[in-house]
Amino acid sequence: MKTISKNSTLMAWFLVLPALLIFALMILYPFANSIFTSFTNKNLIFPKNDFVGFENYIKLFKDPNTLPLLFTTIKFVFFSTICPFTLGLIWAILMNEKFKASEFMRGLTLVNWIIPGIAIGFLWNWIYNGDYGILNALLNKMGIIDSNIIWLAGKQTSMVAVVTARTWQMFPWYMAFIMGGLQGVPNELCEASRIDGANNIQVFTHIIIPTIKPVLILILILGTISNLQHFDLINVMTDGGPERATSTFAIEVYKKAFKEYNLGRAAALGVIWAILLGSFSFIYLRNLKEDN
Amino acid sequence: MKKSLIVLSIIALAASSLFASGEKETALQEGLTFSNWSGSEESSKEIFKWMIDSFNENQPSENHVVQINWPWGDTESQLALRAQGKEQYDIAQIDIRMLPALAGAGVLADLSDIFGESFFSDNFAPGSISVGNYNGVQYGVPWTVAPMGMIVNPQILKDSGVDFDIVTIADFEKAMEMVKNNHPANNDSDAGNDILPFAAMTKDGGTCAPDFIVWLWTFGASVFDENGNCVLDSDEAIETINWFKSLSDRGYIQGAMGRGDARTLYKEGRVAFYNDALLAKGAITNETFGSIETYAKPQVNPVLNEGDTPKASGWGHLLVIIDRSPKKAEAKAFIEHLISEDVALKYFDEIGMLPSKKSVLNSNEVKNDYWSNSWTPILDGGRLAETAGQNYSAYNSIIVENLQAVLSGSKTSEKAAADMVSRIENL
Repeated sequence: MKTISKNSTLMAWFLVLPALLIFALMILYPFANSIFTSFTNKNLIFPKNDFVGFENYIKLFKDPNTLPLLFTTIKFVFFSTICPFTLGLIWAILMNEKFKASEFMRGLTLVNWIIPGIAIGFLWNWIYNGDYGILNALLNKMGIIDSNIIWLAGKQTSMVAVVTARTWQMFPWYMAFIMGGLQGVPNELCEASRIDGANNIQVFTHIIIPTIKPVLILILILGTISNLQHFDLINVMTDGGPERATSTFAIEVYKKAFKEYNLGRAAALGVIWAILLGSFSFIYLRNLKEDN
Repeated sequence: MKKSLIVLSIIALAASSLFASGEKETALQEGLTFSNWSGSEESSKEIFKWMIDSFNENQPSENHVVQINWPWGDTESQLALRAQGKEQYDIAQIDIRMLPALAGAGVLADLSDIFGESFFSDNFAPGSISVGNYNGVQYGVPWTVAPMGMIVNPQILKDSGVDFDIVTIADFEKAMEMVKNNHPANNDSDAGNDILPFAAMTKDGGTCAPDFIVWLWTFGASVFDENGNCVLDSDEAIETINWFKSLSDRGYIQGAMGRGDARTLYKEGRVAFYNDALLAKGAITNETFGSIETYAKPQVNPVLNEGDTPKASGWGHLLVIIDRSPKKAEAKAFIEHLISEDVALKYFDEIGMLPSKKSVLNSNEVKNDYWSNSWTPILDGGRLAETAGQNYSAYNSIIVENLQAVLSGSKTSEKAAADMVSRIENL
């Protein structure tokens, strides 16, 4: 018995070893290396790599741009999660009604999600362009504006622009998940509550939402994590500008490492970013454990 | 047990393949590598292919050139990374502003040793030689060197009633005012065809900061003084920032304008003035407007007071040899091929890139060309942006962020200047 159990354990280790090796090489080693780099003055161009202790972290905390960076990241993540979530929820409820073209509409909606982020960024860049964008052309034709608005030059308007693009990209993903949850809502419950006199809003808030709540929490957490990591749309549309109004951790780490060549400072920023990401991942895993 | 042995063997085989490699050191590869960005750009890829093929035709296979492309913005980091990574790299096209960082990092070879001292003085003007020189060492062969100029649309000026030469800042402001107020396209109901008087760079650090630095020089200011202290808070610098802000307040410039945006608008006939390098010809040519003389005239930047020397941002491409290249003699031969009269004239003919070699510059083909002739008065006086070097991107970002803050009204000019100094000194 003992020998069989020992063999099974050994077999299990052999089977997970390749995955563990890949994890160690692709995730654990680079992460540990980044933490180490954050304590050095490593530079991409110049071959220097001296241990400088907490200097990078001190400079980051003394930098007047660090706190605004955190607030901008939170602002982007919050709106880029809530807006597509809300739109996805409304759209999922509509698509769940099974009208004549609902399956076709569902498929069409998913196209947004399939298009690469870079392409979406260029598309929205064109829409928002101050001089030849179609948004200004439309508003001008409707008589709403008489001179062009430079959408991507304003601090508030540029954030609205990137959040709109992100919402357009991601609401199909939220819709797909929510629809899966809605399929699991028992029709009998809804019918029974309507017989008891509940209106649509009461059915939605007292039956549907509580039933799909685990799905909603899951996608909100995953969406937040995804937006905390997001890079391509902002990079293409505004590159973090104007005046850092759309600069998130992802953009800032990229700029520090590959534009300013300051790998030490970029790694320090990356560690702070990882702690932020890690906290949301911890919430997700705890939520998963509670569900199980 | 048997099953365990089988599984263990498979894993051992898989793991051993990860560590299997060839020889310990990278083998010397056949041929030479020529890294560049122009060879992948639509307007120049054909001519680059021709330049390389025409060289390879007369070379044994071990000296054939193979090109490696990456975007312009990645050149500096790619060359530095690959030099550290021990890959064989031989020749590279670089922008002049990349020279300080790459030379300082020890990536580039001293070309005086390879070409000989007299090669440069015999073939190039002193101004061209100097852009390839860093701390007294000649690292680059000038391939195309010409300062940035101001491209003016004569047709727009004519339609706006501007009938005077743009020499001073006052002339420039007057002309912009007339374009803004008088041009017919700015007085109709269609905002989609409005003419922008001046497409000044306001979007990203790489274009906005170097262009703004030229205006600093025009107003008698600078980024650093002779001791290396940041002096962006001087009276002259604040005056420059105030002037730039006033252009925005009067509607002569606008935000979120990058070089690509400016070129697109200029090509559509919607910009009166903008700054660019001589390679702009390919980007702004629009045959529907007729001959380029009617809609694009390069000229020097306006000066503060009549009699001042016009200021300009240095621009150009250099050919460099990577210090670790084991084929420096062959690399020299390729560079000599690229700057030879036949090749340089074809490069000039195809995309308007002005040759740097004296003998080719003096050829009739170059002298009789409208575009290169227009650029001749601009050729002197270009200076490398003061921010060039290891912290190029960081300095430029600091300048452009604070400039954008002034344009949006978030900061006063004084506050922005003080913040620029503080952040640059604390980098």
